[in-house]
Order: sequence, then structure tokens, then C-alpha cells
Amino acid sequence: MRISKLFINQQIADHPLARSIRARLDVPSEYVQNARQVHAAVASAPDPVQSGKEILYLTRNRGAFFKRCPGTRHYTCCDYQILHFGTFCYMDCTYCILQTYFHPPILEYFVNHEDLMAELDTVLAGKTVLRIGTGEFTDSLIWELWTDLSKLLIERFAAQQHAVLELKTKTTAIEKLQNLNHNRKTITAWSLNTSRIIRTEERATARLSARLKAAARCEKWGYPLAFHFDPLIIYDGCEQAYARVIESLFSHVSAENIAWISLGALRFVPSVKTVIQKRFPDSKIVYAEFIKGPDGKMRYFKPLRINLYRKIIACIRNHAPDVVVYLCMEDDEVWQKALGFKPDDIGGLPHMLDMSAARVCHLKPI
Amino acid sequence: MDSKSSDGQPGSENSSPDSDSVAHADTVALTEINAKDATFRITTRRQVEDLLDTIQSLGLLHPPVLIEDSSGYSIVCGFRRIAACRQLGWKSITARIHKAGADRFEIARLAIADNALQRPLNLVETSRALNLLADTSPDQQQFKEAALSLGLPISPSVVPKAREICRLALPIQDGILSGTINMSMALELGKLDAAVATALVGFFIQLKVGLNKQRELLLLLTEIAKREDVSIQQLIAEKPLQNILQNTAIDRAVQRQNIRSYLRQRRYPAISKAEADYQKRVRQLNLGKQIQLVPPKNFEGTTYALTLHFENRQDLSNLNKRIEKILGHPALGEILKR
Ligand code: SF4
Repeated sequence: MRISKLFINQQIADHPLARSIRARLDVPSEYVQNARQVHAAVASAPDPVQSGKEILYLTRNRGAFFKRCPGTRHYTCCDYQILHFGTFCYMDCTYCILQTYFHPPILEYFVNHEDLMAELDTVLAGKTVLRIGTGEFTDSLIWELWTDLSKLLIERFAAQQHAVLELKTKTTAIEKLQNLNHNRKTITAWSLNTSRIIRTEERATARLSARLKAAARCEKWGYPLAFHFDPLIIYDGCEQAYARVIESLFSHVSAENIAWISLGALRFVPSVKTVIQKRFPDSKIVYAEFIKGPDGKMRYFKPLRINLYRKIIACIRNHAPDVVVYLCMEDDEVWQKALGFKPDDIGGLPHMLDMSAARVCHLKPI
Repeated sequence: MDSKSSDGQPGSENSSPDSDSVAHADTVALTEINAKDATFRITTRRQVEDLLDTIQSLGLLHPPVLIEDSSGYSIVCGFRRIAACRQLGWKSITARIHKAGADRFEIARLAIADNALQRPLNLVETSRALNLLADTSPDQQQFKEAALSLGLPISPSVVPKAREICRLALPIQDGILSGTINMSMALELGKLDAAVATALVGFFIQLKVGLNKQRELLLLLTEIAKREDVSIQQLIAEKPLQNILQNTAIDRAVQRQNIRSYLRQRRYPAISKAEADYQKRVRQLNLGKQIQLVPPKNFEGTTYALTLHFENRQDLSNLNKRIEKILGHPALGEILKR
């Protein structure tokens, strides 16, 4: 990672966290009135997306820190809550949707943790099972170098009994998680892919073996785990390659500590294709057999998805017959053909995940 | 620039206000005229046969316009007239001559006016004219005013694209001139390697394929080539495509359809197979003209639509019986099982 410049919103110039990040980063910094100035600074670069990964903008979140997972009515959603504390990422996955989310995207971090924690207190005040994740608009752990937010969150979740925090990453930035009192209320989760896809499509991310070793260490420290095979990418030999990943996964961690494994085949809004073609001309992932789904996203032709899911699920079941496996953003037909049941058969996907969280993370909802 | 002048129509040199004031008429040896300097060349026409008779019988009614350069003269107006005179074996011509230091913007306008005010410019000529004007105009405002007065496009969304055209590989420009490809396709092809673009223009010309289908074929070819790590030229040269292209026994429309089907199957094998299987089963159902079965879009959803066309109760009742039959047909089971 190479942050070359820090932009600080004038209004939080004196915020202790802004000062601390500035001290830790040791790069030139500039005070700005608003995000527009930062966007303008990166927009003129030859590759604004890359440029947005090399600057860091510190500001205050004026909106809500919590959002619902942006599911669509056409596909089954996991009904997860997103804790939005920052956006974008210094890693560089070809398929990353964040490349098109903002215009242009910039690495942005909200320093008003006092507001975040107050909102979290309100969210946690309810007593039903909640699953909260931070890896929707960014990678959960890339911020560990400059901030102590994970510690703050993990300890806050440890102090209650009905909600779990999921930290989802492609890094190995787990050092600061050791020795924290997590009370099994934080799930450390990794996105997994085949070594070939990691090498060709997930630039600057940790290698597969490093991710699995990090997961094993977290398990050793008592953290529950989760894994996301998302995006599954179809290529010649991918089934065998995913089988090898699964084998390797279960040689590093034990199934009983896994809260869930999700599977999601590559999907993208059409504008991502243009970005991939421009930024990653050697990538071939957009030239597979995609159709436009009812939600407007490009997805693999359904029988191809079902076929891959079936093979991967069979492989997971071989190693871990009881682990909870779910499909991300798929419809009933795909569930039925790939998993042998529909979400409604088991009370819905959110219920299935809540039950698993309760079991693996020892939740005691009221 | 010379089509009308040479036919005895008035030349348009006078349309540029101050141009005459600095030009003088003189007799110039053809050997002193540098015909290779195309700085002011707007016309894309090269043949001169249509001018030979007129010039031979009536002489040069409208003298070409030249500008002095370090070794003699460059042509401003009259490229074809001068070429015709050479072909007729003339040794010298009478021309209007501008001094080497003449205002280049003024001279550029003269060269463009000589063409643009006599006939509609084609895309390549428009491109040349815009570039000439842009290269010589002192500022953007004067460029715009001059372009407007010469009937050239001035829209900021069009000018940069139009200027690109005359920088494209010659086969692409020829494709435009022959009406095979339009501007946006030309620009698309311009992004490709010149050899690939040339191969594609040839492919489109051979197939006589319309502009819409060109886009589809280009996309299919590009994506197959990318995925399979082959060049587009290789793809076109491969046996399956060549077999279709060289099969002169089939109608051109069928040839186009076969090419499209072949490329689509290669780009989307699973989808094409599913579509073909679906069509086969629908045929087995023997629905007739009054019943249409529409599958979910892209086979992504699970809802099929059945449309019935009938005129009266009896019709509907007959269709009802047909539907009963369809319900029991194994092909329907196959369709719904997917
Ligand atoms: S790790 Fe996640 S957030 Fe970062 S670039 Fe890859 S997909 Fe985007």
C-alpha cells in the first residue's frame, strides 16, 4: 500500500483521531473544505481510480453509520447490517464494484468515532440477533495500520450477547486482534479464491495460503470464522481449483468454528465491465457467458452458476457436512438446485444465519 | 477541391475576403510544383479522367492556387487540375500565387472554401478541413467562426471525433468513403491495431453488412479474440469462418446469418445451446400459429408466458384442447425442468 497524500477536512483538523492518523502516516497533508476538492485532485490523474487508492481523505460522517445490506427483491439477501466507517480500498481487485460507486472513488475515513459508537449503542440496545459487518464499502482490516477501530468495535461487541460483528478481509492484518477480549462476538472472515484468481484478479491482496494461515491464527485466538467464496469465477479448470482451496481451508481450520460459508458467483453492474477493460486489459473475466439479470447486473448464465455451486457445495460437504453454506444474491431455483432447499424451507436466510451465529458465537438473544 | 472549377464553374477563391489581394497570377513550370505536399489537400478524389477532356479543349478556366515554399510551390487549390495537366503532358500552367509569408489561416480557408462551398464534403474531407483550420487558426474563437462560415461542424462533441477520421489507417478511411462504415464504427476500429482494422473493414465489405450488425460482429470477434488469446485476423482466417465466407453458392443474407450464428455460438456456447434446445422442444410441442410460449428472459427467471390468439369461443375452445395436449407432452416437462 502506498498512501502518498493525506487530505483532511478543515472541520476535523483538530480531531484527535485525525491528528493521530496524520502522525502515523507521515506523508504530505492538505486541508480541504470539502470532498469535492479531493475528488477534483484525483479526477485529473491518468487513472483516477488508482489515484483514489493512493490518497486518504479524513472527514466526518454526517449521515448514518448503519445501513441495510442493499439486496434486491429478485434475489435472496442475507439481511445483514452494514457499519459504514470508511470507503474504498488500497487493494486492487479487477471486479471491485467500488471502482464505479463514487465519482471518482477515494479512500475516505470517518474520524468521528464518538458518533459511530453512540449509534452503535442505539443499534445494540435492541435485543434481537443482529449480524453487522464492515466489509461492504471497504475491506474491514485495511485500516488497522492507522487506526484502532477494530479494537474499539470488538470490545464493544464483546460486552453484549445478541449481536455479532463480522470483519471481512483479503488481508492478513490481524496482529492487533490478538489478546483482545472478543467474547466470540466478532467473526473474522476471509474472502477466498483460487490462487490463479488471486494472482490475476486480486492485486495487492494477501495470497491464499497467507489468508488461511491468518484465519488459523484467529481461530487459535478463539475467534469464530467465516469464509466467502465471492466472487466465484468460472474458467477452465476452476472446479478443481476451488476444490483445492476447500481442501486447504479445512486443513487450516476446523468446521465447528465456522459460522458460515457464502458462495456468490461473479456479478457486476455493466459499468464495471468498461472499467475492467480499461484498467485491466489483460483480465478475461468479463468475456465469460453473462446475461443481464432482472436487477440489471451481469451474471453468469444460470445453469453455469448452478453447476459450479453444486460442485463446490459437494466439496464443502465432504469436509464439513454440517457447516452453514449459503448463496449470496440467488433466487429460489438456484437454492433448490444447488443446495437442495429454498431459504423459506428453513425459515429464511436471515433466520438460518442468525441461528448459526447464535450457535457458533454463543449468542443469548432475549 | 477542384471538381467544379475544372468543369468551368466559377472557382471559389474569391469567397475568402482578402485572399486575392495578396495573390498574383504567373506562369509556373509544373516541375516547380511539389505535388506531394498535401498540407492543403481537402479532396479525397484522386482520378482525373473526368477533367482531361475539358482541360484539353478549353484550357484551365480557373487557375489553381499555389503558395511559395522553399523549393518552389505547394498546391492550395487545384490538386486534380494540376495532376490532369501533368497527365496531358503540359510543361507549365498559369496559377495564382501567394507569397511564402501569406497568412496560413487565410490560405487554409481558401483551400477549404474551394471544396466546401461547391459540394458537400465527405467525412474524410470534413476531417481534413477541420484539422487544417484548427492547425492554422490563431485561436478557438476564430476557428469556430471560420468553421461555421465554411459549413463545417462546430459542436464540441463532434469536432474531436471528426478530426480523428483523417488520422485513421487508410483502409478505414476507404471504408468510410465507400459507405461501408460510419464515423462511430471508424473510430471504434481506429482503436485497434491497423492490421486488425484493415482485416475487419475487408470482412465488412465482403459481407456487405449493415452498420448495426457491424457493431455486433465486432463485439463478438473482439471478445472471442480476447478470451481465446487469438488475434481477430486469425479468427477471420480460421476455417469455419472462411468456409462460410467462401461459399458463393449461398445468398449473402444467409452468409451473414451463418457468420453471426457461428460467432454467437462460439462466444456464448452454453446460452446458444440452451436456446437451441428450447427451440427444438418448442417445435416438438407443435404449438401452431395461435399459441406462443415465451421463456423467461435469458432463462434467468422462472416464469414462462403463454400467449393465445383467437377470434371467437370456438377458437378458444380449440386452443384449450391443444393446451391440454401440450400439458401432457414430455417436451413441456423438459422445458420446465431446465
Ligand atoms: S479487497 Fe474488496 S474493497 Fe478492496 S479492491 Fe478488492 S474487492 Fe474492492
